[in-house]
Amino acid sequence: MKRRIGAALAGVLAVGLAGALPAVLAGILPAAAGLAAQESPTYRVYVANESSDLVSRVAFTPGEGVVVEREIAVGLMPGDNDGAHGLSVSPDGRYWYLTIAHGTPYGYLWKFHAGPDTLVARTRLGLFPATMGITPDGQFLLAANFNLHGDMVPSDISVVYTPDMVEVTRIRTCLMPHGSRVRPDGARQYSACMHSEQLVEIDMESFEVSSRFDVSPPAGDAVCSPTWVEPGLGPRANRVVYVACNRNGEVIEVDTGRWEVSRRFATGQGPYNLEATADGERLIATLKGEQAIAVFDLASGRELGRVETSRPVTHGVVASPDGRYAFVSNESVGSVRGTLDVIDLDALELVDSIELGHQSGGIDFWSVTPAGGGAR
Amino acid sequence: MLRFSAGILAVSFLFAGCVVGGASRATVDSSPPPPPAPTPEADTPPAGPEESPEAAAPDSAATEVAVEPLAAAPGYPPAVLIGARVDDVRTEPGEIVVEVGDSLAMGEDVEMVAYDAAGNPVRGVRILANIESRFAVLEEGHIMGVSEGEAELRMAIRIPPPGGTGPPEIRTFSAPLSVVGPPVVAVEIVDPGVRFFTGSMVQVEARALTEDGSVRKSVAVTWTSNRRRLATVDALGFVRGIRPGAVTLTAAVEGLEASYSFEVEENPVASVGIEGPSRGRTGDVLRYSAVALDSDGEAVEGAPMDFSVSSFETRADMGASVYPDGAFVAERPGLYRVTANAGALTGQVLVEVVERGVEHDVIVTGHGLVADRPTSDLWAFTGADGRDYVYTGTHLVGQRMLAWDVTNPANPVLTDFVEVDARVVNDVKVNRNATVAVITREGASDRRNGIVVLDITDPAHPVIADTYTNELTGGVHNVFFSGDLLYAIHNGTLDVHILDVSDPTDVEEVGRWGIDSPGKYLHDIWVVDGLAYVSYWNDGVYILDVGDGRWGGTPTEPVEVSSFAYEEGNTHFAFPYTNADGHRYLFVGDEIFDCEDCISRNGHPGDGSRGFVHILDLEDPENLREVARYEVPEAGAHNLWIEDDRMYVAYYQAGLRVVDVSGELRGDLYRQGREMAWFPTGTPDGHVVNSPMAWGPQPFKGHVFVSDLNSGLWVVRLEPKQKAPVS
Repeated sequence: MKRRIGAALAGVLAVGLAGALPAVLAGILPAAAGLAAQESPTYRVYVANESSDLVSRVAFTPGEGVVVEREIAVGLMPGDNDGAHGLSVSPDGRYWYLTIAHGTPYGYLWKFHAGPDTLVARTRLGLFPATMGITPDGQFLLAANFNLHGDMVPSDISVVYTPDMVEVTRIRTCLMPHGSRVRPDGARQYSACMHSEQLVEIDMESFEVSSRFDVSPPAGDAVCSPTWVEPGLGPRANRVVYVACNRNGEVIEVDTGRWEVSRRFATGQGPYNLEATADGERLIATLKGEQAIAVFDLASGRELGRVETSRPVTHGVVASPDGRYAFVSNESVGSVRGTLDVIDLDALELVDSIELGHQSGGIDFWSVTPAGGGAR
Repeated sequence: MLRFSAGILAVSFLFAGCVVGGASRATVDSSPPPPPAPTPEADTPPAGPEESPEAAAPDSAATEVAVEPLAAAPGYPPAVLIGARVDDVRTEPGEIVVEVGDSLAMGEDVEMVAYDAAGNPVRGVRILANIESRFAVLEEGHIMGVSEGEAELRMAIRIPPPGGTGPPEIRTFSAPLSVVGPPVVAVEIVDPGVRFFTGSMVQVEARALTEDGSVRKSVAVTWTSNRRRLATVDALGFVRGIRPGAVTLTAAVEGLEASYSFEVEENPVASVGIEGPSRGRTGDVLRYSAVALDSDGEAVEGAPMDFSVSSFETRADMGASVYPDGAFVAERPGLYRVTANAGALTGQVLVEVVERGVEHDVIVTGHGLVADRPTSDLWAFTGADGRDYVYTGTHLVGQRMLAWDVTNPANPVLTDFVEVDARVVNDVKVNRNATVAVITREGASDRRNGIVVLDITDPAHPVIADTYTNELTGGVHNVFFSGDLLYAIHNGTLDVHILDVSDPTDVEEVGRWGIDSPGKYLHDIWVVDGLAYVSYWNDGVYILDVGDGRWGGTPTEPVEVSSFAYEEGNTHFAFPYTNADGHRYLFVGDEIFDCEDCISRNGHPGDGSRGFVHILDLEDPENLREVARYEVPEAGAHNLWIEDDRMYVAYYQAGLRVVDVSGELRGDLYRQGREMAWFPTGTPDGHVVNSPMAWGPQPFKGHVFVSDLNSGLWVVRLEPKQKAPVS
């Protein structure tokens, strides 16, 4: 197990690598330790570390803190960086899936048993496979082949039948598709197109593009450059999706029945990934350009607050099923390790943080035990 | 080079039409703002939902018989229910054939049809399709041929699960897919240059020529003889003379034919003489010549002759080979019999082969340990201050280039480092005048990578002169200097970007070159005497004229001279070399990590490193042919360098290998005792302890500098092996 970042802080600073960790970090750990440990559930997430070719399984127990339970080495090339990028846990919690993005040139999808963390199978995908969405029944995984670099040419969504790990088709969508998510009823999948200014909807029965929606800001030279689509949950399930406009600092709510922008939320710099809480009442946005997250109340449309994260290049976020905590991955820069932050969503405070591998990015929630019971 | 021009254009046109046609209903407002540049035409911005699947044209798989959904198992979409009736999915045509560089339209050229158990076509089931192969791709409804080989079209339908509860399942089918070379426009039979005698056997070669004059690799040739009583010919083109008389052979390929006429003569050969060395070392290519003699002892001109070799040992492997041109090479010491065969007559010579005896000891002169981060490539040079330096890159979150003063090779001194926003500094190169260095960037925090140009006026303390990212954001893996030009390997475009670095503070792109091949992957480049050697992974190695001029190329406008691909693929690095005997070769290394034989790492199957050094005859750069190899069985080759007829190979987990590449090369040098020395570059205090992972070698001023991923910089030298004293 790794030490928490608080305990390791002195050593990290001594070698001059850490940069400026938020001062709040030192203060919040004792507060968290005051919680009654025996009554606290343990939350577990998986985090992909792109530049280490490692996946970290991290456990957080309120009052006890956050620990790295296991590091799983992934990738094939000891002499090159395979690029563990996107990570998704199956809805039943039995498996987790990882995109190996860099490729020669095609990337791969790896499937692991969650818990033992042993490799089940892998299959080849397209250029720079990144984020994934999984149908509620767990049968299909849709990976966005981000095709991040090089000439701007349209790319695809790979459709993988997960029991056999067979890529059954690719659906051409747009330039740089990212942020693949399937809405709760499993009938539609959404992705954002960073260089096409589009929200693309795929019909999950026909596996064809059913709608395209222009997410360009309404006026001027502003550019959305969307990086993520988060389907609404709870009362907004299957009716709206939220799109992170990375370039112009806002999240837009798109009514997918009427195909119109129903609301806009100003976020600050570089909204990147989004996560709706399970009750559908709050939306969390990582702010890549601000080293922070922003939390919105979706009923009122009001920003509830902003929480600074422990290291820069804030990347991914997942919320615990009970809506109490957000788990946030921070890439950091160069040879400085990434971190996982635990943020109390009621207090809007950073409650704990831990160093992971390098360029911590893709993240998903695995389980909460015993309280709350079972996987997400 | 535009292999795919026709196919690509067709696909782009169809794609553009599809998107524009589908975006028919406005949603946000009636005049959406224009999209940001750059946006290609094929990606015209949307205006709203596309036509619903129901309203779309019938699926290409739709056929004659409509089948109602099953009454049972309610709750599944109709297409899923109909899928339960499907017993088979086949393509029409049954075997798909596509030419390299061409494409087939699904639904037009290739149709997928579902059938029930009675063999009736089933309409209304959605058939998904995909191809996972290096030989073909399926993009935008088109099957595109990439390179000659066999693949399969995978087809899938959704069906209800057994019992009708739970999510739909996928059932898959497949159809064979052959990717063939371009059409044959002519057939020619190569004159074997020998006479045909009764009792003799001669192999005749037929070549199938394509429109551009190239020879197609995989073709079925049908041979016939018009007078089988005089001469027969088998499927492989072996002609056996039976009786004297005139014979005409015909070779037929894809409906085209070529003929070759000759006379079968009464065999005048009475004996066979053979000449050549009687002694040699393992690895020496010994040349044998044979002559057929008539009963008067006169030479019979044009008599067909072939060679064979045998050993006096009883082992499964012979230990030596002899080639059709009379070149003999042995892997093991011993006594061999080289035989020249002219029909039933033979001539023989014995040759004694002794150990090559080139073993050397590796003496470690110095070591610059780097244990806090992996070390990547290196470059050794004499700096402007007259002292000797080695710059090393760092890998996997290394972020730095390290500067070592190696004037005293026994004590490499780390003088400074340059830190950049990158996770990988894979390559380091220094220009000829030792005034400018370039380091590559991958894994920048903003994903804008490129290169960093260093002012090395003070070589012990390099400083950043410029950071160049334009058009290179995808990361640069390798670079190579040629004068003021820098050839950069870009991970994004997978093209060679040619940069003018004459002003280190103002880098400018002045040219670009790349192949047009789906799935291409570019890894490295080396430039020598106006020719560039570009390693293009599964597409092989390419030679470019970048100033040689014989093929019309210039440094900024390269012209392709030739290319050479081989079955193993993964072409990683190429290094040209002319040895002391004047033999000119191209040494090409693989890098293979995903194979069944690879050593397990991290417990994953198929993990580890493999690959070897292919040795190509470079006498004629337009006609490359593989003549030899160097293969360490248990490891994988990485970078190499050749000087003074010694090849230094950083062989990853097999450490540094030094190989004698003098003279003519044939066969597997590893098995011939040409390996001079081996140095395992692991160390107990390395980044990964006791684990050699040799990255790159460079001989420099009598020493060999070797970078190792896990242990930093080694300085070694070779000395003739000291024999153990006899007690």
